[in-house]
Amino acid sequence: MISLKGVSKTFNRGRPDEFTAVKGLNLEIGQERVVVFKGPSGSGKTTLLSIIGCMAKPTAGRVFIGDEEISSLPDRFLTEIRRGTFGFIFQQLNLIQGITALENVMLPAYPTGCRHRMLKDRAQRIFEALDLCHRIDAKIEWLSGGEAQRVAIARALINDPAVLIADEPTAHLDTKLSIDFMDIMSRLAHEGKTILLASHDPLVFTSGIVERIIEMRDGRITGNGAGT
Amino acid sequence: MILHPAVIALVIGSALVCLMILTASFFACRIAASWDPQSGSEKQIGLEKKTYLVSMLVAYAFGFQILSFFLFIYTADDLHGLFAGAMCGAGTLNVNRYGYPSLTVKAAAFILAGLWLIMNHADSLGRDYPLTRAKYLFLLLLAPLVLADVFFEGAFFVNLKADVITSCCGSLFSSGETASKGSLSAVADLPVGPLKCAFYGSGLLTLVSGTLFLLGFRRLGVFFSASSSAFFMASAAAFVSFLCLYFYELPTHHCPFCILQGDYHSIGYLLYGALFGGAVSGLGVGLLAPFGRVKSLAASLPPLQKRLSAMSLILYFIFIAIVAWQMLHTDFVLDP
Repeated sequence: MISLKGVSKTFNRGRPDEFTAVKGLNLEIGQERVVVFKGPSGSGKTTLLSIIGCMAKPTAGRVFIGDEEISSLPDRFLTEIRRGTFGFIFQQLNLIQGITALENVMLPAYPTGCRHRMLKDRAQRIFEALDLCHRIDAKIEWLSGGEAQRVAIARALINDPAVLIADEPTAHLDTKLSIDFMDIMSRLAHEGKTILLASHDPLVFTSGIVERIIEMRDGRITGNGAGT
Repeated sequence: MILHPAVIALVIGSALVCLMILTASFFACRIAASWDPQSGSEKQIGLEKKTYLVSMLVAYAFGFQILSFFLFIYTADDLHGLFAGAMCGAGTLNVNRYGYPSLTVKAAAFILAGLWLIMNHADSLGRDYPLTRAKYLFLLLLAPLVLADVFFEGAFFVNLKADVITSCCGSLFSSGETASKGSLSAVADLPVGPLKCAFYGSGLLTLVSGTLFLLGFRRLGVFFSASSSAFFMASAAAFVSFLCLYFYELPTHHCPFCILQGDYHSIGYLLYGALFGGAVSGLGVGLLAPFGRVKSLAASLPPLQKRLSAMSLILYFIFIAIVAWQMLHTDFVLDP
């Protein structure tokens, strides 16, 4: 279970361009498998997901995963949690050009010290599950948009995280690829993963797999209800 | 003031250390006043974010503080040729009244800075900043010592005048000359018999308690720490009193500085490094003992204490081995 207590995030504190992206949020995410954070650009969705995923620290408030308070953890401990608990799918994908899809997927697991052979086998199984085996040795710049998206999903899954975080995952996809993406998310949710999506794409938040929709505006939660 | 490169390095280094410690002390006051890990307030989170940076700053400052002890005695030794009458660092330190106080403060700062670094390392092993408040309170206690170090060192170097006639170590550290000497050199006149008992006795206690602690008798941690510090003091006194005689092969020369010179292969640096390092590691075991019940350190503290005790034993062994080798391989006989 993920819970947030009084979480705020202010950028450029004390400067003329000071901006508070998230304002005193209290939130609990319990047993829901797929949760969507819905709201317009600038509503604080990405910042909130960054805080939940240990990519950023709040300016005030605490974040708990289970019983453990994680927002105060020093970076050396936070890295372990970020690597082991969360998988990230970024809006811009952030895949590394010049190396193969397989190398991109294996990269986040290198710091774990896992044997290369085992790691490669694990990556190949994920490629198989995502129906992407034929592109395993292709360089990133050779992939289509949908293939690159699936490589990004594979990379997020390499450390077998309990929670998958995707920020505007369908922003650059056409309708068919967006539906394919949601199908993959549905499969992962059935496998037991918790999926947190930030999106203002109706195709995402009207999807049947969504169990909870949290609406945000101006850094605050304005609505909190079940999915369609 | 003599503009020797090492003097300039020490003065600038000490000034920077002082600046860093004063800055960190200001932060330590905020920690002492407002630290509350249960709170999610902006102030608390700000302190948590800054503590890593400030700790790093202090760690570097204390790292230099430890090295500066050796640089200081090297400088004192290197400058002795400039002063009429000085034969080694002992004479240089006697040029004005700030020399020996500066050395004493530096030795104390060496040990306490080492202990702070151990505490800082232990704190970094816990997930919830378990020793943060304690280590910053400790820092507040150390800050006056750092200031005193800067004062005495600065006063010593500023008042170094090349036309001063000073005393050589032969008169400062010779037996039976106590009337003209200070407390450090008076050690040379301590009765050898009881000092030998203290040296060998505390050494044996340190070895036994340290070995038992390594084997799993955790309750002996504080005892080991105490015996380790007793051995450090006994060794320092024994070195001036009778151990150094085997190196100099002179029955009346008790100088702890000549051994730093090339004539003795600069073995003094290794001896003092091992002795001080052993003391800091040994004291570190006892320093961490009260925090053994802290939940977030329960798994990581015992291995750290074991490593410290092993390091202490190894460093003391190096000290004893060098001294024993010299005692066994010299024709010099102390007792007829």
